Amino acid sequence: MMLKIEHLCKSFGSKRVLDDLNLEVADSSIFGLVGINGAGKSTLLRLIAGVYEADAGSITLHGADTSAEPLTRREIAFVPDEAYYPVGSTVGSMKLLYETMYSFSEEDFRKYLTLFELDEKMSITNLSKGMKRRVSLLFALSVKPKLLLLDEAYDGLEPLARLRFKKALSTLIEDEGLTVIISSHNLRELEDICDSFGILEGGKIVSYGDLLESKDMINKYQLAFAEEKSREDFSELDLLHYEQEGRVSKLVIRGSQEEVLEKLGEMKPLLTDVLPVSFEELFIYELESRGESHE
Amino acid sequence: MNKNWFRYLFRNYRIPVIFFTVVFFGLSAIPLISSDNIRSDYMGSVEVMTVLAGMMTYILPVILFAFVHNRRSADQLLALPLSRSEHLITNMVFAFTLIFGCFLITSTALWLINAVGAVPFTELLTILGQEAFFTVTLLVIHTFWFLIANNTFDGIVMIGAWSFAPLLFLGVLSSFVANTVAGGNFIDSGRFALWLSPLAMNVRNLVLALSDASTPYSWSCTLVTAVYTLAAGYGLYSQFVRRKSERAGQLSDHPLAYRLIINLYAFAILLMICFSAMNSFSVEFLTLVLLLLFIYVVAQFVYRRKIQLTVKILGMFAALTAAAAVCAFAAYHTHGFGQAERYTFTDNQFLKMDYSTPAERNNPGRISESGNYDELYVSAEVYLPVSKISPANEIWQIMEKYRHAGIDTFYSPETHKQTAYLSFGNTDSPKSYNYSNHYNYRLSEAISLEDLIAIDSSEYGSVTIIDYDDAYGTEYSLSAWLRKKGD
Repeated sequence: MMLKIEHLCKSFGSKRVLDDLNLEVADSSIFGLVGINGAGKSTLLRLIAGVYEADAGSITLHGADTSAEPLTRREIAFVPDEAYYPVGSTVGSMKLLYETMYSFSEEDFRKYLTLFELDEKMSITNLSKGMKRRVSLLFALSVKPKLLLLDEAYDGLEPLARLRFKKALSTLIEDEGLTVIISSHNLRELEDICDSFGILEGGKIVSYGDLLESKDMINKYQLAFAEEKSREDFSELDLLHYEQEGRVSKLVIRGSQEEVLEKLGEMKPLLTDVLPVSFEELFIYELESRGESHE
Repeated sequence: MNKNWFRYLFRNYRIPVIFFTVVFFGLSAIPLISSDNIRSDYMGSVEVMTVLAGMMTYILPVILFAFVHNRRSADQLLALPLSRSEHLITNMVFAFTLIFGCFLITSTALWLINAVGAVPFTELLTILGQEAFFTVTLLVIHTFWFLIANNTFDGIVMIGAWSFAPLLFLGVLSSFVANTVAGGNFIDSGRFALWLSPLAMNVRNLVLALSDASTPYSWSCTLVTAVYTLAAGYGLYSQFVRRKSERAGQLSDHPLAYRLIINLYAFAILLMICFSAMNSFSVEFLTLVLLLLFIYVVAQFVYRRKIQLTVKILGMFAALTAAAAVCAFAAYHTHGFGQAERYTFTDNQFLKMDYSTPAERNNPGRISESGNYDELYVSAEVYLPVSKISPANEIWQIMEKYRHAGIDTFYSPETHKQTAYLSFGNTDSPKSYNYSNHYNYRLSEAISLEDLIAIDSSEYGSVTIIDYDDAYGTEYSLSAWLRKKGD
């Protein structure tokens, strides 16, 4: 296992942000970290990157504790939501930092410089938000990381840049065994790229696993009955969402589609319609079922 | 230490390093241009180098550690593959190398060029050793002060506030002595202020002790500075190595930061105001207190970064004012906590008394109301060996009578139009100008003619009168003046 987080706790003052969080992220995968605002996604990424220190628990990368063994961070590239560039710095001047402190690949640097349409002489402080994000990604990919942490990675990137970045990531995952953890509110974008996901809520990972498998296990069912039904009629099912419009029931149910349809069949619906859920819907229904309302 | 990070610092700052080195050398060489006295000129260069090095011990901690005070820069630099300890030590080593390196190169080069004969090699080594100590101690201490804050502006304020605090202490002590201790004598107050300032102690040993033969090297200053440095070094461990990086950009609420500094400064200034008020109260003091309240409130705004006037803030200021007033009242009415009565002497010493006053034309024992030196000017001097106090009891009693009169005048609420001047001190010989236990008083009434005659008649004292009967004044001994008047 690439990254293992055990019993991680972090508080800011009296506010407990991460509470006994456990997570494992496999090698060569893209993990989507999602949660509501203030759930602790950025905090978790900063803990993995070594910016914050945990109050309790451990974070290990291939068995090495990232806080106790700082050299493990040579394999971690962290791209925060807002990167720092000293006033007057250029792409060339910032390269010095990464060249000196990491396993910097000049070849990769040149390749990504072209891919992201950047120039070494560019003054970074004068760039737009999107261009600065490209600079961050340029350096993150040039240090040949084993673990790439992206906090709100797509913000500011226009569609073409986003596409190029996704392609670059795919190549790195395939060729270099790169593992990526992305935190974002743009679940539609994550859905395209992530293999696995985790929903952070209440300081813990409340739901995680393979994205496709999870989506397969949750479906929307629209049923029409001869008579109006109530929520209690579906009590045997793992109901994430319930809506009734006259004799039509709109349900989101977790479980194998075959098994669920068999149980619903016993209720003799006049009409049954099954629709897949998107990642965004999965996120909303998961949180809704835990009592969170995000209207 | 982390070699990669050290290499990065040098490569990243290579242009400023070169520029600083050139400026350092250039400015340090200026005193050598005069070439009047080679040794003196070289020491002048050492002073310039000390000033430049001292300035860098303030500037470099800000440049090298400001990143922890900003969330974005902290994200980048704390994620680097080096431990906090390595980061701290490497930054400090870099700063030391830069400052001491410039000093070493410049002082050695200037010595070789110009001062080989005038300044012994051993003295050069002493200068370098002291400078190394100076740089290490000030870097550690200033970095600690910078890191107790949570943003760059507050960090700079903390460095300034804690650097200036010894002067504040000196001000309070001076006010205490001047306004509550009759005679104005206190245990060497300058030394206490010196011991509070690592900068002053280092400058004393590096500059004064080397260039002024009458200023000996102070091992106590070295020891005190070392203690401060060790404490600051331990503080650096908690403020950087164990620092919670989420403090970046937050309020600087460390116990040694604004919470202490604002109240410490307010209390110190209130003490000075209250001490002054004890001696001569006027409505202006109320104005000063109100002005200070305004500044106190503004300082709280700066600390809390919001405009908020609360009962707590006003209550704290009121409490500080009350405490200062109580301290000042107690100090005044206990005669400076007993300092006014701390008149001591030891065997083999001389008790010296000096007296002077403008006096009435026909009565040396009466202060001239006009205060102009156009009638008589009376001065008296006594050197009484401690071993002779018993045999010369009459003189001793006169001295004590007027010493106590001086104390009474100081604490008297009456204002006196004209006063006479009286001073007491201990000295090792009548010819020495070094005094200990030096008290200066004002007398509301002059030494009587009878007592003046007793002093003048004694083998230990003399009285001189300048009679301004003519335009230039003629000097007489008391006995000669009395004879003249008798005529």
